[in-house]
Amino acid sequence: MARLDRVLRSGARWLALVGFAGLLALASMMTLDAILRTFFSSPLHGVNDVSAVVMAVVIASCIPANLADRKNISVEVLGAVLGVRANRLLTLLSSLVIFAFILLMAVQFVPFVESLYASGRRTWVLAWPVWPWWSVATVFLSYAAIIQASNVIKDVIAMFGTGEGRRVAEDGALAADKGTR
Amino acid sequence: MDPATIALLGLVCMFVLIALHVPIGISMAVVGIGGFASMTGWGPAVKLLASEPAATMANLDLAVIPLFMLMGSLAATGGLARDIFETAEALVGHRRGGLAATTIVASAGFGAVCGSSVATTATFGRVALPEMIARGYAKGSSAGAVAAGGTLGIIVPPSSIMVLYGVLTEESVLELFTAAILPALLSVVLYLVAIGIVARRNPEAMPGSRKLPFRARVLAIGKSWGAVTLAIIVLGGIYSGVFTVNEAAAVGVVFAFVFALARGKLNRDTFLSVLSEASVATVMIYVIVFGAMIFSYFISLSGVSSEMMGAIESLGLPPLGVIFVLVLIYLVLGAFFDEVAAVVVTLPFVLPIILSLGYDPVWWGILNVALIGVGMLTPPIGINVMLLNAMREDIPLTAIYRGILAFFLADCVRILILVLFPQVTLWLPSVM
Repeated sequence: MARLDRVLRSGARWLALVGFAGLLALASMMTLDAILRTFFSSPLHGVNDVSAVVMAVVIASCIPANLADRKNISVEVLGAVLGVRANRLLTLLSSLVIFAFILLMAVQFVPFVESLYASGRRTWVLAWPVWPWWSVATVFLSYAAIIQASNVIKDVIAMFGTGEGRRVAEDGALAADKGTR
Repeated sequence: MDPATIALLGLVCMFVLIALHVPIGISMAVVGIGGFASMTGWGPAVKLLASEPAATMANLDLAVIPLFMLMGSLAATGGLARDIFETAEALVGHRRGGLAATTIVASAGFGAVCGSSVATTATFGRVALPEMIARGYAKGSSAGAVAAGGTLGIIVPPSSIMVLYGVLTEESVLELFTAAILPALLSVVLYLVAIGIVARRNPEAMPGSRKLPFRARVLAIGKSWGAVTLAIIVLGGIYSGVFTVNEAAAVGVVFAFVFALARGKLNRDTFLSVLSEASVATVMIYVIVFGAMIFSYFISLSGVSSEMMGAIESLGLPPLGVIFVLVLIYLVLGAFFDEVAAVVVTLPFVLPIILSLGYDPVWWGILNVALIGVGMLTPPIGINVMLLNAMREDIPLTAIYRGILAFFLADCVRILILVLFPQVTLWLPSVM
């Protein structure tokens, strides 16, 4: 179980890195387009099309790692004031809400992609079908839901577990909080 | 229950969820879906969970945020912050308070290639803070200068938070960047005046040091060529109309990447760290925007904004009085919320009020960003202060807050000027 969790989290981090490496490649293409347009009056064709579909995949690719490392903007004053046990309870509650949100989002993306497929929507200039890109984004969101489910399990163990299980869960949460990459 | 009551209940629920550790973006989304469902039914409400995040992810105007994040991370890794600091140090570092002034000038310079307050604070917490303490500066004053300098990261264009404001209010990002130039210069000048006063009143807190020979000072200017070139490419490209904002950010990313690579600062580990840092910061912003978009739907449908405007009118306050009340609210919010969250959470309520009072949304955008910057310094949770305290546990929070006092007063003067003289913000966009 612990090994599966490590593999899932490591995969999430690599996915985000690959996604952002893709962003670097996109930036290079946009630069080339700007230079060719400015100095040679011959821009690359359809850069905005590529940007629109690639950006969706780039952002979706980073969400699993964001959840794996629990890097979201939140205000955690109450837990600090109320003590360790209350803090664990609040962390568990927060994890459950995030899980419900990301799961529902992933589920809602399925009919969204189906509607894109059914309507045959394509990009304006290059006429690329957009549904495959959004399908990839949906897979990444589903992966994020799995990662968050793992966070919930860890938080349940940290809250109600005893002995070794709780220690492992807390070590995992601590490592995630420190953003181990 | 009438829609306005539902909206107010939703607002309360949102703050309760935030207090219960639920991330701010997700709190907004959950309340937005629940509130929307209570007025239209669950079917249309849950569809927002796909349509709004999808629209946000595909939004090309927002795409500039990950690009700026990546450029900022590459610039920091490439050593551009240290270059700017060393140049400024050679020019003014020998004066009393000179290193603190150096930190402010360098932070403003780095803000022109970074666009994030927290990133600027973290960078100069590593570059400038140890240098000042080693030269005999009081720890609190040193940390105060770094924390205050950090706020310049969001007011000096390009700024991620201005991009976000532009997208959410459908204002021109270019106009916002242009409008921010004079307020940013004003911030730098007022901070330098504050340093001058502190150095005069308490010379031991900010001592002077050895002056470099003239030739060495001239040579030091050349050290910043990379940062200057990057700023010229990005800002010059945008203001001259050669590049769109997205293209300028993309060209900036490529330049910062090549620069860091040529300097030998990028290896496998640092490259992965750059990508990781930028991706984390990006998704944090996107999650908040997902929430904000869904929440805005709910607020618009409820019509609570017009009810609020009616309530404000019934108070009989003059427009300037309303603005001062909002200024106070933002100073408090900024002390609890992250920069992005503070703007995004309040925008659906506040913007209609600003427009109904006849104020310019561009002026409000710049004032809003300036206010959030001040909130990042003020207790109980000034984020820049907390960050420095986490980086240097040997500097107590109380000492940092004491060190910030002079900068906070300078900020109050700046806010007053921006409120009373909107021309400071709006003149440049009107002539460019």
